Amino acid sequence: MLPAATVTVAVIGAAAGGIGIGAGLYEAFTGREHRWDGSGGVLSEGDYSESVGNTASMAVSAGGLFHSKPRLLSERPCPGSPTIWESDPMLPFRNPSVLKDMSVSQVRDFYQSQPGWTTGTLGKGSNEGLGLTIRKLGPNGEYADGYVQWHPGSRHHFDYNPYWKVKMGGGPETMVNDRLPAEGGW
Amino acid sequence: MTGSQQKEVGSVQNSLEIVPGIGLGPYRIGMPVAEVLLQISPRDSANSALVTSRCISYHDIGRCIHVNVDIRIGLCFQIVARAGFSGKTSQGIQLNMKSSEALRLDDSLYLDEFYGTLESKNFPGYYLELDDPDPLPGNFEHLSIVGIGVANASFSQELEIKDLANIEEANELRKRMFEYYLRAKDPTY
Repeated sequence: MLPAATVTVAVIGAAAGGIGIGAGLYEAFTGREHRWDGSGGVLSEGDYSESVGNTASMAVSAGGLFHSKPRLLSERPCPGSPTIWESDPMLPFRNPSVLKDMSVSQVRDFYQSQPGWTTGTLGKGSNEGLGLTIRKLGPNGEYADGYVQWHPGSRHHFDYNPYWKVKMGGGPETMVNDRLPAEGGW
Repeated sequence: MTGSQQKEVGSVQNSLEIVPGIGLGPYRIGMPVAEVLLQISPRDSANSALVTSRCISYHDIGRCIHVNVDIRIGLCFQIVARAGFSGKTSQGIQLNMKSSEALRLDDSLYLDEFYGTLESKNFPGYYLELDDPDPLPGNFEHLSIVGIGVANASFSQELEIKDLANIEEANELRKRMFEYYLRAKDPTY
C-alpha cells in the first residue's frame, strides 16, 4: 500500500505548480480558510517539512487523502508566484512593487477577506465604475489613511496601460505615494 | 398632463441649476429612481448602464447629465454633467474651462487624490472632473474640466463602505437619504 505521506506530498507538489484543488486557488493563495495553526502567519521554510509530516499524519488519521484538509495547500503560496498574501495587508505600503505582477482579482479578493478594509471601483471621473479601489478603514468604520487603486489607464499615465497607485501618509512625511505599471492582468 | 404640469416640467427641463450637495438640473440627491425615470423617459433620449453591481447610471442625453442610482436603496446618490452641458456653477465654473481658471473663481478648490477630482472647501458637495482621471498634485492647472458632479460626501461614503446586506441598515440609510431629498425640495418638510 502506498504510504499516505508519499501521496500527500505529491498533491502538494501539484498545488505548488499552480493547480487549484480542494479549497481552490483563492484559498491556496490567501491561506485564509485553512489556516489551522492559528498563528496568522505563513509557514517558514523550516515549518514546511514539519507540516509535511503533520499533513501526512492527518491524511492517515482521516482514513484517506481526500477526506483530510491539505494544510500546506493553503498555508504555503505557490513557489515562484508573486504574493503579498502573508496576511499582511500593509505590505504594499512598505513595498508597492509587490503589486506589480499580481492580478487585480487576487488583490481584490485578498482585501475583501481582510477586516478593516473596503473595496470598490473608481467612483468619479472618466473611469467611474471601473478599476479597483481599496481603502483602509478606521476603528469606527470610517475612511482612514491609506489606499490602493488599480487604474485601467489613460493617456496621462503609462500610455493607456493599467497601473497601480498606492498612497499612505501625506505632506512631507508621506510614507508612500507611488504609481507603477500593473502587469498581472485582471 | 395638465397645462400647468406641462409648464412645470418645461421649466424644470430648461433648468441647468447646480446646487452643491443637493442637485443638478432636475435631478436631486436622494431622488427615488421612479422620479428619475419620470424626468428622463418623456424625452425619449436616454440610455442606462449597470456601472457596478451597486450602481446603475442613467444618461439623460438631452441634458447631458448622468444620474447614478444605488440599486440597493433605489435612490440617486450622484449626478454628473458631462460633454455638451452648458450650465455653470454659481461661481461661473463650466465645462471645458481650464483648472487654473476654475481655481481663480473658487480658490478653495483642491485636488482629491483618491478620486482624482477637484473638490471645493467652500462649497462641499460639488466636484470637477478633469481631462486626466488621475491628475498629479501640483500639475493639473493645464487640465480642462470635463465634468461637474454633485454628491453628498457623507451619503457617498456610507454607500461605498457599507454592503447594505442587512435590510434594516439599508432601510435606515434609504430613509435618511429620502428625507434629505424631501427637505431639499421643501424646506418646511
